Amino acid sequence: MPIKVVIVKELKTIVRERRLFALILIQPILLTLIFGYAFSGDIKNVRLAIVDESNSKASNALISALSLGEAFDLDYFLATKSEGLDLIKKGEVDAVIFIPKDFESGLAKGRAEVEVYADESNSAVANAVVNGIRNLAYSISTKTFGGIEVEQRFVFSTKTRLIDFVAPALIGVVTLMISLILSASSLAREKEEGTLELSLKALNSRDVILGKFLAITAMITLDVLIVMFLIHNLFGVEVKGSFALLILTQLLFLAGSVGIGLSISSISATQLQGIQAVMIFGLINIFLSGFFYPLESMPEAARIFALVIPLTYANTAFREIMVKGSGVEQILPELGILVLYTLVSLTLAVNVLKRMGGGIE
Amino acid sequence: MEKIKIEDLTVRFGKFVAVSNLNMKVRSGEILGLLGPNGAGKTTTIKAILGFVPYEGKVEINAEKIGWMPQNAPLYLNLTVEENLRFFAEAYGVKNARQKIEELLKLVELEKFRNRLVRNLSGGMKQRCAFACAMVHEPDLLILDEPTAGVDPKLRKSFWEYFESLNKEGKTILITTHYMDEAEKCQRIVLMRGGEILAEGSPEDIKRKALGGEIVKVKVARAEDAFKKLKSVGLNAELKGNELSVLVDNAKIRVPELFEILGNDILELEIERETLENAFLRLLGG
Repeated sequence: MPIKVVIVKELKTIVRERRLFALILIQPILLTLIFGYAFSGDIKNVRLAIVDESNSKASNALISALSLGEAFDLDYFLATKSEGLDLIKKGEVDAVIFIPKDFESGLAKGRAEVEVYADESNSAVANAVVNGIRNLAYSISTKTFGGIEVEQRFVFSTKTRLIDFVAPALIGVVTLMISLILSASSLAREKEEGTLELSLKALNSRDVILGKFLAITAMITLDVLIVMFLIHNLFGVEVKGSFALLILTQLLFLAGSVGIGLSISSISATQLQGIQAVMIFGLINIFLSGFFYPLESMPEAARIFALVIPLTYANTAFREIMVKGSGVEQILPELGILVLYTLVSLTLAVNVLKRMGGGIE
Repeated sequence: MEKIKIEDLTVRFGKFVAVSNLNMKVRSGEILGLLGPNGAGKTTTIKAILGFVPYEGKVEINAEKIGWMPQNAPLYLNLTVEENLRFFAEAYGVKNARQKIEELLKLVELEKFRNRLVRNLSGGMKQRCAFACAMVHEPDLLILDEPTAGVDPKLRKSFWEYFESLNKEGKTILITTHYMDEAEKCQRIVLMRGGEILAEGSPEDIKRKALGGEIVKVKVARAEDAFKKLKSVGLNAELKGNELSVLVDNAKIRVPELFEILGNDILELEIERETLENAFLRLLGG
């Protein structure tokens, strides 16, 4: 089978290119260690100010959930939002939680809102607060109205660690970078060395792209497993949901990224061009996906950007599975988008190569 | 029948016209040499034949399988000699691939190096491996772009022995080269310059065309008389001492005539061997 021929050739080529192979193995280890240690501290004593306009049973439940454990210190109870914002500006508190009047009635309708104002300069804390509140609100709503007995185990109840929030995004970022670089250099290198045209004389562009795609995806699966192993064994990050589902989601995301890398390298004349181009794509993804900067505190224009960035959806899905233990039903929209991402990027790659490279029909 | 028929081929890269209105045929069973200085458009013409560059005009190919050996012998550097052959054999869906590969390894004398990575091969070995890869699916038309560039004389000789034996088996070969001794071995030559054809024909035709004929040098006993005799029958002759240089359209026909005219006065007669190199330089210079 032609695809098999390409896969075998591709795997041999990658493994024998020692520096590249070393990069594939070392890069995820290095990135995971660096980010892992950088974010390995506990979130402790995040100083909060609470503005409770609701003053209801539901809001009290939320506040008492927040006060449990060491994560949050409820330093201020205020009457107005603006007082809270002043405190953030002065550096007196890290975040303000605003519970609006209609909190309890909203909860009954299934869409209660809690506004969180956080100090943007400390995005990790902001991120943690936003996620903490979101999880608390979610479990309160299920407990109150779902009619199901939910175990009272809040994410922030005893000890909260940054790494638990960063880990899911970390997986996304590491897989994204490696799959982009590997796939971008792959076709462009063959172009530089002249073997691409030669093999397009024997194979059609679909077989070339799919063969490369499968080989590179297989290599990066190795990386996914390395990252998972490290964050679990070194940083004790647990996967609450299904491990199989997590791996599947990761594979979907990296498959799409490999497709993008292949498309870009189909147009690039040299490896350098290819890698530079995917770097732009990669960096936009990383900065605007909420990894460094919580989506909630981004300006609206940037948030619209975030909506069209695949990493945003991948991160959301990873977080749902790892932190909240969500199943397939909860992440269906994200999965759908990632499937679309893969299909579109692969179709693009095949067609671009066909147009650029000629080759047989 | 023509293996390749090119009509009004024009290839542009932006504003630059690499090949302009080219008309050319590669006849079945011949070795056609595509020659010309660097930048003449040889490789571009080949790429157009293979469909790798957009072009205007018509390219008709009547070959079942094309074997292509590009310039600089591109191969997968991280695969061994045998793995490269196997890759192309399987990609082309060759039956009895194993047997074919053995045959080719023997032909290009790389049996001992079959397990060596192409990265670690010498230039000549790489060239042989690339040739074997081009042959792996038993093509009836071979397109070889500078297959002997940078190859030592001994290996070049054996390359041409392969080419000629393949040609005897009936394979058509389109080849580019900068070596004049190789050009002499082609049955036909197409000489290109600046994307256009400058001259076309057998090596002898090309030489004749460059010179406007052939030069016959004759040493004679009574030079002045001889000179006048030749002039009187309208032959283009020059006199230097007792040596006459006669420019004739075709030496094979005219030499017997010279014997008739000058008879026993001829002391020595020599058909000047114009080298193909000189002929090219003359054509390209003009």
